[in-house]
Amino acid sequence: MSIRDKFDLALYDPQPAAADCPQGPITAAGGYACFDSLPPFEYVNAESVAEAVTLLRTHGAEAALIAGGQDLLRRLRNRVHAASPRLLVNIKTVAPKLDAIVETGDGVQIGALATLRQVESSSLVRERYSLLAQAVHAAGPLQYRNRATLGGDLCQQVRCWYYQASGNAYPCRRKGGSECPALEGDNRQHAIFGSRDCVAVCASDTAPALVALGASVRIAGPGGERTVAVEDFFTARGNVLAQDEMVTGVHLPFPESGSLGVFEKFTQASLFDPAVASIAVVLRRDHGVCGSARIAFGAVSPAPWRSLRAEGKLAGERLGAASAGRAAEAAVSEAWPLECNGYKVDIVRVLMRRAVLALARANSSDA
Amino acid sequence: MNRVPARRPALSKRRRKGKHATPPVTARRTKAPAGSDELKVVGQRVPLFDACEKVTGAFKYASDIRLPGMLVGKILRSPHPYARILAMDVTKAQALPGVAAVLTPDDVPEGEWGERSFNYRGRVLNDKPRFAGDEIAAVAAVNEHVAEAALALIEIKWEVLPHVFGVMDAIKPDAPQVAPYGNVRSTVVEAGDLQKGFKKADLVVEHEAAMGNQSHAPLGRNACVVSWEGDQMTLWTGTQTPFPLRDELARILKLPQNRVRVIGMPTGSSNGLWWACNFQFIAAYLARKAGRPVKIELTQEEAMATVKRRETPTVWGKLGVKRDGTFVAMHVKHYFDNGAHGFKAYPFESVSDLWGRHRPAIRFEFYGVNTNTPNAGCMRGVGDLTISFCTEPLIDKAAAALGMDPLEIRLKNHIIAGDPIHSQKNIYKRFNVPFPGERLTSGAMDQCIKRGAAAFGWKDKWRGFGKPTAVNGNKVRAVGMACACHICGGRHLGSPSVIVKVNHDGSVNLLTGVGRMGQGVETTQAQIAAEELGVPLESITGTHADSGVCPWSPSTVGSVNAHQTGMVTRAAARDAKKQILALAGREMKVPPRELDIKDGWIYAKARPKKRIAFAEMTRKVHPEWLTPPYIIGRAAGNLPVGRIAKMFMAHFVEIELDVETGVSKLLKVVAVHDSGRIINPAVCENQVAGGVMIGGGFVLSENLVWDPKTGRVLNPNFADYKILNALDAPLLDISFAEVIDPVGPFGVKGIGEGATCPTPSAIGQAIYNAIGVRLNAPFTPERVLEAIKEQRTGGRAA
Amino acid sequence: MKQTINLSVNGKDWPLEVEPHMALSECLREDLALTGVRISCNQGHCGACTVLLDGEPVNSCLTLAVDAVGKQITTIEGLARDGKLDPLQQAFIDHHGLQCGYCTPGMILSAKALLEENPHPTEPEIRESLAGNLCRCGSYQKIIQSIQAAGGETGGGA
Ligand SMILES: Cc1cc2nc3c(=O)[nH]c(=O)nc-3n(C[C@H](O)[C@H](O)[C@H](O)COP(=O)(O)OP(=O)(O)OC[C@H]3O[C@@H](n4cnc5c(N)ncnc54)[C@H](O)[C@@H]3O)c2cc1C
Repeated sequence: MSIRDKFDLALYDPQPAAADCPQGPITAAGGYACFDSLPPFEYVNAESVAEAVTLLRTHGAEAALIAGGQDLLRRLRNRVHAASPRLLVNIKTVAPKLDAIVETGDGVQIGALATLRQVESSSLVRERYSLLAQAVHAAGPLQYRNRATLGGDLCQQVRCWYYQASGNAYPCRRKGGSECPALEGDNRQHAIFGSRDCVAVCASDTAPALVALGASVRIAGPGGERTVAVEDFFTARGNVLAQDEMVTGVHLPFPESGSLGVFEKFTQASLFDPAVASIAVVLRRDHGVCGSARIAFGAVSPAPWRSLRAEGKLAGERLGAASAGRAAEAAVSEAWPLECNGYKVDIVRVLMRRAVLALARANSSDA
Repeated sequence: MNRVPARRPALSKRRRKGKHATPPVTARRTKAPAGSDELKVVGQRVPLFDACEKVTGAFKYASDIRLPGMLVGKILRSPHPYARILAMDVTKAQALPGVAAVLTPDDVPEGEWGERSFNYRGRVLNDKPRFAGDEIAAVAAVNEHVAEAALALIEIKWEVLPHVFGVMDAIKPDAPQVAPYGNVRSTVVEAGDLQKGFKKADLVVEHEAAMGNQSHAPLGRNACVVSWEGDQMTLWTGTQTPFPLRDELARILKLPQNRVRVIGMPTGSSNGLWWACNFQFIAAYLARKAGRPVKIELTQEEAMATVKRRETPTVWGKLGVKRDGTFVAMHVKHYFDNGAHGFKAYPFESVSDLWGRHRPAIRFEFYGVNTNTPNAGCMRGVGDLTISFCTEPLIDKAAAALGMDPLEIRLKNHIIAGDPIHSQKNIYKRFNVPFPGERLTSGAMDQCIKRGAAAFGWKDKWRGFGKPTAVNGNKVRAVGMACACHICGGRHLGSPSVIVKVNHDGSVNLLTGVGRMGQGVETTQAQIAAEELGVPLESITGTHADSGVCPWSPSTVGSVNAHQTGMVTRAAARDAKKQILALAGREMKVPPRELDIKDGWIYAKARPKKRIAFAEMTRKVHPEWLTPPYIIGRAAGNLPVGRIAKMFMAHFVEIELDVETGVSKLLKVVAVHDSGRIINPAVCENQVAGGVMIGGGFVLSENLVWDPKTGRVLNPNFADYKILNALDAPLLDISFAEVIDPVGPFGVKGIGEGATCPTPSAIGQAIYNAIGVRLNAPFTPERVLEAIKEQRTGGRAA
Repeated sequence: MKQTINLSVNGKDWPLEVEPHMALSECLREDLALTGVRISCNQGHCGACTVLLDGEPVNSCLTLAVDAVGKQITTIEGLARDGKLDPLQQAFIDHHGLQCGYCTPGMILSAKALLEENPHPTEPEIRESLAGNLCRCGSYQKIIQSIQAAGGETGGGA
């Protein structure tokens, strides 16, 4: 009865005790959110990107940007961090409004402040990047999508019940501490790819879609704008943004002709649950044979996980059951599951195989 | 706290039709069960009394209450699973501007308080906290921000103690002792000679089952607001148990019961969570110390991680069967995790009796075990849900070995009216009251099974044990079914009292002490009163759960109200009716016994045309009193003690399981319930639907997880603790096998709790049929997939 | 620092003094006594605090009051007009789409937004539109039937 044993071990193993427990003064309420009203802050409606950036620069760590607030306000309510920002810089008021979705010479530009609802409803997005529309739709029920923004979705904090614990109960590595409680603790929702420095996972469903589409992020700072591939945007413990930078938009290159895309979010029960894992694939198909492919997984590492091995296995292959199986094995070959999350490896395998089979069947030229 | 007066558009339309505000109720009648032709109100699908306030937002819960000068109360909780406080320094917190009071263990009684149904036992503030999250101090301050700052200023010196998390570890003699009275409490239900029973068996099967940790996960906050005037206390809180809460508050505060007024507010979906809870006791002491009203509102996290959860079960069972399928012996050991402060030995254990048709020897042992984990106690379906999660697969194993199908073996062994009852005897003994009913009052398990099978199309879908109904690529369809029974209250809880007041204008106030949590008790009790009194339902308004106004009632637990409170409501209405008929007899010059009341008319039974409107009669100035009569009908715990019924149910489920991912989707549930006569089909359908969702969620997705090191709950929120939502809800087909119970009012039994009981086992059987492995719950995709893999590699046989 | 703002709630303007950290849910409940805005999880998961901003459902617990300036806010208290219930409210009563009532205002408002956009939704569309509104009483079937009835769709088990 290995499952039961595992269940018992994970949840019921008696601990020898004392030494393991933190000593001395405690955080209020033993770490449970007995306070969940928002802590006081000042609020500034930024009128331009320059103003927002200047405010960030002047106030340093005491300031934070707020877009839709769906991630930030929840963390503030739960006292997730040791200190909460004294100043929130509202960027929804930036003029001209950063929510446009427009065609540029070489692709489509989406403003960082476009809500997820705007993105999924945009005909430009739906026609050319339907997998992005799907990913954005899957991010959450309508109530979130009406408020959450594309920029906020990319910059949101990771999923990890230790990091996100209320009352800053676990000052873990991502918060500057030295320990990762998830490594020894209950890590069923944690990473199977990437470094073991921090095993929280990227919660954004949109990010893997953007990686697969080869999108890039436009970043504004005191020195002007720069552009970073979405793939390179995430770092082991956060993202590449400097304290005084902000995301202004996302640029999607036009899909190559003959390219196909697929997105799937796998959850425990239904669509809007947090992803166990998600997959986005964009590839070129020529007479049933795969040209180049871009494959990214979500919720399996702190950043969207691009599987170069699976991409390599598919290139030049006829799309079908055999190549699907090979790609699936290649995708999981780099996985190192923790004690409780071996299941994610199975799911990555299934997602990869199903994605290839779906692409083999697909008949429209549509990413 | 007065609620906005009810405005019921659906009903007021009807009101206009009648002259004397006495029109009949015109809601659509469901197919009338045999013998109900006479009934006018009972059996009607009327909307909830408070539906209008609920859809307009006017409805009030405890969290909506604000008093002038009210302070915010907040609770400091232990970060350790087990520890002793060596010193607590609150001087800095006390000195903070805006802090009115800091309450420490020194301010509360040395002794423990106890929840009447064994769900909590502990001090109001614990100097030796027993789980991470246990309450150790509290502050009252002008607002939340000051309270937050104050809690952070409390300094504590700890001695951290060795703790124990697992039930099987906590029962070891050398385990850390969680409570001063030892970790284990137990009770036995037995009949016959077990050894002899098993000797008679041609076949003996065994099964062991475990389930996860279910949180009540209430939607809706609860709060407790306390205001003292001198030594008189008023307390508003959402509770299912206003009177037991009042009684215990009075006992521990050393106040007469009439000085403690508990105003029980409606709760959001409680499912057994909001009874007498420790935060209410903290609020009482905190407000007294602060000298101002205090409100403690619990957050979702506090509600999910610290108040209560379902007792986590591990159950072993052994069944002896004759070749023809007759049960001869059944032995069950049921361990359950009481968490830190639960102290239960007696769950509701009706299932012990369920398979007693051929008088098998039975021995059901129950062990409640304390651990340093979050409090555990009653949750909807307590006992019978978890027991049947072992006995149902046990029966299936026997059926499979004998080549019977699941319906056949159950139909052969379930009890029927008149069969012996052994369960619950111990709890009556514990409360020092005689056990009233040795025989089952009524039971239609057979109808539940047969009608359910027909509605479900069982014959077409059943392929045999361990066999799926259909396989389509990676998707497997499978079906399952299970049975259960449950109590409808119990005399040991105490006898309810009810008052029916008839006003001069003929309108009626119904006063009871029941708790309100959306189960529709306000409506169904009024239906019973209206039926008995012969007045239209619209003329009744209820006041419930206010201990300063209403008569005493036991806890609203164990599906007590429809059956047990209903008997008393009916008796109180009958008392009022008797008084009115006496007056009417004099007025109409007809002997009262020749009169009756129906549809708001008092009439002579022999000459129905001779009549007077009810409301006209109540308005008439009495010649001697010189005032219209004011009639108070009552039934105050003075009913002769009779038997208590049991409810029966069978659930049939269809699932689709993805063998590549392990995900099971609950597609369809057919539920047939014997709850006696159905007072209000709409209310009962909703209750069953809710039961299915709670039971189904428990085994498909819900599982409270705590950190293996610190014991801190990791997922006390709806993102990480997954309850079923609108996308997950199965198709439901709910119906009732309406037998008329000889004891219940108009033949009514109970429904709410039992509705959760068969679903988990039915899904368990379906999973088994889909993949050929019997699993412990929850059937998470991960566990299912692992079982499939193991089975493929031949690791394990079914 | 308190700011003076003007909120347009249920068709009427209200001048208010609010701290910037006041959530719209708290502002509506505490300053305007609109307690039909229910708070349960306070984290955007349960949908009990759903209100309509310019007709679109949002969780008012994760929306700041100061961010709602210039928008039309609709709460459950704003649905009934001239003492007459909205057809959805009436349908929830008639079809028993509620038990404890805690999720009801949010459910009705989500349904309201759905029906405004799509007067005759299919059952899957209804289910998806309610995915952000949890009902722990499990009354989904009758809730769906209520919405179908209000949407003029006949029959249909959920
Ligand atoms: C209960 C719940 C469940 C969720 N489930 C999912 C899910 O399954 N999948 C998924 O993809 N998402 C999920 N989300 C996340 C939600 O979609 C994101 O939180 C949302 O997209 C964030 O957008 P926002 O505009 O509200 O961000 P905010 O909360 O405003 O900001 C988030 C963070 O990003 C920063 N930020 C915002 N905009 C910028 C910018 N332009 N430049 C630089 N930094 C910026 C902020 O400072 C903040 O730290 C969930 C959220 C909640 C509350």
